[in-house]
Amino acid sequence: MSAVPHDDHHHEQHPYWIKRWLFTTNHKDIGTLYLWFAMIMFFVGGAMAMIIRTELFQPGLQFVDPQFFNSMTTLHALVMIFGVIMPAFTGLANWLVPMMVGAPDMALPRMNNWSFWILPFAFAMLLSTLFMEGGAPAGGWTMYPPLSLQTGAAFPFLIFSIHFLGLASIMGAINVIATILNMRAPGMSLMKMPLFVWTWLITAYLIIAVMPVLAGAVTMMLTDKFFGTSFFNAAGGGDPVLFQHIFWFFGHPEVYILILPSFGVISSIVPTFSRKPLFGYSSMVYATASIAFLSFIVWAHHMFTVGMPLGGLLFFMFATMLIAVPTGVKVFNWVATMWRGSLTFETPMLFAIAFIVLFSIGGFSGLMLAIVPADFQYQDTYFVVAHFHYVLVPGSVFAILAAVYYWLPKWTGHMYNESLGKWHFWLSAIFVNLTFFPMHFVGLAGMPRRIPDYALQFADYKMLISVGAFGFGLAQLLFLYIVVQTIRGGERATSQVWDGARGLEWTLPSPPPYHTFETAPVVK
Amino acid sequence: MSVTREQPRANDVHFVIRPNTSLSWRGNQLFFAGMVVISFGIAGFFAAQGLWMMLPFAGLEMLILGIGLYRCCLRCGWREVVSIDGQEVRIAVGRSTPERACSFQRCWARVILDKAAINGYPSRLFIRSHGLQVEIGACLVDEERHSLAAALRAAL
Ligand code: HEM
Ligand SMILES: [Cu+2]
Repeated sequence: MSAVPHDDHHHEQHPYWIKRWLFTTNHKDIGTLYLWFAMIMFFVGGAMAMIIRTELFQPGLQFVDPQFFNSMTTLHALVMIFGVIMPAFTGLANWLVPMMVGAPDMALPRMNNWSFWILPFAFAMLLSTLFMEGGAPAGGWTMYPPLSLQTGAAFPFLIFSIHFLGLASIMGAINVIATILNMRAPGMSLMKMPLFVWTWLITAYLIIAVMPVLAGAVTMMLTDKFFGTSFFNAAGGGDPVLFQHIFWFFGHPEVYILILPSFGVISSIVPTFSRKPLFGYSSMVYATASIAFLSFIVWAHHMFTVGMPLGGLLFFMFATMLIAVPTGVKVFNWVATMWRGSLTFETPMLFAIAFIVLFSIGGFSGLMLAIVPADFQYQDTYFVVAHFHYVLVPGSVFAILAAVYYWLPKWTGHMYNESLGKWHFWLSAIFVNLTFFPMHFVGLAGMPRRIPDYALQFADYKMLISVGAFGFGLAQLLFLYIVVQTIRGGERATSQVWDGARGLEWTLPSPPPYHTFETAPVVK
Repeated sequence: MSVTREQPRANDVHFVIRPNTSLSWRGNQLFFAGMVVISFGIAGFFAAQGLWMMLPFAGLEMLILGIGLYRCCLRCGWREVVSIDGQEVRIAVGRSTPERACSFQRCWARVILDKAAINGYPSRLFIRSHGLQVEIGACLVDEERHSLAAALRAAL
């Protein structure tokens, strides 16, 4: 704050391109950086998925060797989770939370800049492992020891990149929490906040609660490998299963970190295009809070097969099933919001509706996995792959796409091309199902995950899945095109943009009038 | 609103500008204490199983959170008081007591509202006279800054 009288020779408000983006503390710029970063990583992680699907197009080994295949599954997951979904949500939070709570910026703008710029460094480090001796990490994104300890020169780089990714998420989360708690405009009480703000508040809380657990877990693995400790080494009195416990103590809340902000997005979009207020606002808040609470006591459903006491199996089975209750409340509320609304189906609404339907399919397969004796069969098969892709792709990713279509006119001042948007939606919706639905069948039939080769009986389905995956990947290039086109021009957006839209951000102009510094008054 | 206006005499006006403060200092302390309990509760539980290396990370994280909340609170306590009294425009800024102040002659002071150079950037508001200027209202959202500018112009 320049509250001291000063000579105004260097009244610097005209940052050059590099300087603007490198040193920006403006929440909108940082939001834009996050969103572009997520977009780029989406194509990086997507390319890895294409390699996986190319190898799996036919049985046998054709294109890549098994070690590299496993690196691809490992890096694909890490890129998609830490490089796409989390940064995209943080980008949305940066753009929207201050506008929605009536704050001029995020609470800690300088930290905001740091938390973004750590990300490219962390990913440069992680992806550089592809060129290291012994190859990139290939033990799965869950990094279970002792397997992951066999990683070559890449191992410490994997650990440190995880540390940096964790640090970046923590700083982002602290910023969101500080903004929401301290910087709400007068009159914006907690129970008046838009649901996107609520879901992010709870997400940020989850991030802060579990990230030290992940950091500790990977550090102990590092010291096991290089400094002679035996936290997870049975030969030295340690226990490798303990790693699984702490990994999933982090990991299960993490999957809610990946989905809660989408609940907020969908809760903003559905009322707008139903032209009705959201049904059951407060039950949405309580449902989100209960999901967050339950997410701490279900972690062992990822490790039913390690040999737990029966009491443990039962506890984690029932606790997991309980999560379906608040989740069901949410789905009910969205549907009830649409009930008898005057619906229109612009692209954001199409993605939101697809989210509700397809995310529910993912929820149901989750319930199937929660049944212990069933999970003994499904564990580590493509059924699990189908489950988490249903919650993450037509779940989180569709919510992000819906959010981009919904708020892009606000951000850029231009409307996107609606018919191209519809093309993008239908291609995505068709191909996503073509890709992930047959995975349920091959999974139930016994196809294991993270394997580059498979039995002949799966060949037809696997080919279909690969075709779906290539189609989905290509459809996302259309999305890139639509976004670039909208930034560069198009029909001017009004400040309201959607006639049913409610909330503070829609009272602001889309975007403020362009006014170059050159024409601003000159100080004498 | 974050701008309050007092009018002690017919021609004199005082504006008090303050950022949004939706949580008190005490509230921040309680929230921080809660997070410390949870974070160290989790890390302590695992430490009891022998996995003590979460403790330093929990500590580091709580340090960052604490610093963040503290700085945020400091900024929320910020006040800018613009008093237009008789022939003088006085601008005092600070927390509980004024830390810096300056004054201009009322007849020469001008209100300058700089539109943002770049789309989406906030505007900036200055009071300027004789080549010196003071920025005020940086903690406001654009709309509030615009109405403050209008009110200041009317008062000068
Ligand atoms: C009703 C809600 C849900 C239930 C009951 C549920 C249940 C489960 C269960 C039991 C597993 C373990 C399967 C196994 O490994 O054998 C699992 C795996 C998984 N779930 Fe869910 N889930 C739900 C929602 C979600 C959501 C919302 C997400 C993320 C957005 C998610 C992401 C994942 C992921 C990534 C895995 C696999 C992790 C891995 O092994 O790499 N789940 N789920
Ligand atoms: Cu889980």
